[in-house]
Amino acid sequence: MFARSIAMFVRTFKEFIRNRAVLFWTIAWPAIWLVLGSVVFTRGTPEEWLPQMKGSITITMIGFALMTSGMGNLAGCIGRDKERGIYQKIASMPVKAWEDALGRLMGILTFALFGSVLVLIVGFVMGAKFGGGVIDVVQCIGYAILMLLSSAGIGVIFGSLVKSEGAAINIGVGVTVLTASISGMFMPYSGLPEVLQRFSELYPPSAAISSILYILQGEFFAGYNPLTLEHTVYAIISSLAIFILCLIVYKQKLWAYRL
Amino acid sequence: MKAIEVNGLVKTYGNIRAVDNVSFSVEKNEFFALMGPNGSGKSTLASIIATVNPLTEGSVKVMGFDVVSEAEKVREVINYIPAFNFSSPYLTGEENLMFYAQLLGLSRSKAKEASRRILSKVGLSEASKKLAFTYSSGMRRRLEIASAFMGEAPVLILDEPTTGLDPSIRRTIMGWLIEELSKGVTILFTTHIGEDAEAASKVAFMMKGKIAAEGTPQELKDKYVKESTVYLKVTAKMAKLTEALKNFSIDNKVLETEDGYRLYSDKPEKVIPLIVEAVDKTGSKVLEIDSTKPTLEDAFFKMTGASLG
Repeated sequence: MFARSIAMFVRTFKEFIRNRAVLFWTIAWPAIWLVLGSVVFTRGTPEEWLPQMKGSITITMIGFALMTSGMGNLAGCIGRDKERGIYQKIASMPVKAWEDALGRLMGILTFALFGSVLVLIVGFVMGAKFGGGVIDVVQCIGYAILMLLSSAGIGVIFGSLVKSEGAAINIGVGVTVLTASISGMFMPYSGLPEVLQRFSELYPPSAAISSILYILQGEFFAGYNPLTLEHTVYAIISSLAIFILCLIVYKQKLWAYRL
Repeated sequence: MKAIEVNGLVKTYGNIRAVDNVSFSVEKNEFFALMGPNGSGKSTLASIIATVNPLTEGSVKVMGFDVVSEAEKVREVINYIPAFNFSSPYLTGEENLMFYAQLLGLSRSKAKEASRRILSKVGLSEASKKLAFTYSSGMRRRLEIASAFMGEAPVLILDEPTTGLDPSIRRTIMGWLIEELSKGVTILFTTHIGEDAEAASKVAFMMKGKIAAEGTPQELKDKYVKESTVYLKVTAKMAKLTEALKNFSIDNKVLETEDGYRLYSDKPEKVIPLIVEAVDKTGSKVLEIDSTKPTLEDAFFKMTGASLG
């Protein structure tokens, strides 16, 4: 039943892992920021706070890697297949739209996990420390999946609407960097102007990162409490809404022409 | 039951009728060519038969299944090779074939075995572990055409399979397709290359979205172009020789070339000895003389007045 999805998953994952641009933006770029952040931007931080500070930078950069995977890499993968007419070839075969979508999502999920582990290793090497127990980690994995779903949703929408691979990647990576910057991923939440603080709370990927920071490192590093009932419900519903919207756009834009 | 039946098919893009009331059928195990210049509607027609382009009017059946109401069943019985590069650049040749084989429903082990066998057939065994973006354009096209031989679809639809390839690779690919016929498959392919269409058992000329003529290659040539071209090189060209040669030309026209003449004849084997004799009588000598039989491109030109360009 899932054989075709697995074939699509293997193809998607291999395409990511062999593409240098994808590797750079998803793994090297956050790793570089993590090293810079741990060495340069933590100067003056009291010694006892350093491991936790590095831990929060690591979490943020894992978040960035997940966002890039979803918004940039997935958008590029869809854009490339669209540009080359691969969808037309696949659509002529006994493949269902959901089998294609599931395979691609499994590919991006696995690649994002791979990238996250590498960034986490860099974090540990730099001396990052994290709080929380097993339940907290499970909760964080849930938020990470929500974040990936919302990022992948945005990426799928870019990939479906934009005409070429290059445009899809540029828009995806550009939006990742821009929204990560203005939602406080490269600076403390407390340093953001009020309007951007609001954006950070409402933008599903940054809301998910804040939740993970809150759970593992405490409110000081999250900047606010994102685990209130309303905020938690909002984070879940908004992420799923984006993801469902992406599936609709994907089906309509890339599979609707099929007879 | 026919392998493919197209009835009154119309496809419009705005005010443009890309396919204009086309009807034809392809018998089982037939090798059918849709031949026409770029923009004649043949790729649109192929994509409609392949269930990836909605039709505007008419009906299309593949192995008895309607492409609109039974599209999923049609997809089970076709293998469509589009005109563009659809191989994944970051997969190896073997991985590309395995991917498409698995989408066709082959298990991983069968897909691997089939990929290796077919890569060997298309001469890509040595490059099978290299990523597709390192392939030349000819290698990539061979790889993509190789995916037509995966699975057991009884109908192959190939859109411009040989475009952009050099003549030797083109002939090789046509040879592979002819080999596939022995397995009982039906092949429909589009082309603007007359030489490739000559290999088909039946050819339909497409022009401006319509089928202008249909028949076996020989029938089309017999119907629309009867004469062969006779070329000769001589030691000296002269006016009286030109006049003498007109007697052997079907339309009394003789074209002067750089080092000889060209004329048209419906019986070249009979006129060539007479031409040699006539040249000798004028004091010139024949250095070289030959004739070429009419081609499908000649027939297309005679019939439609348009080149295949």
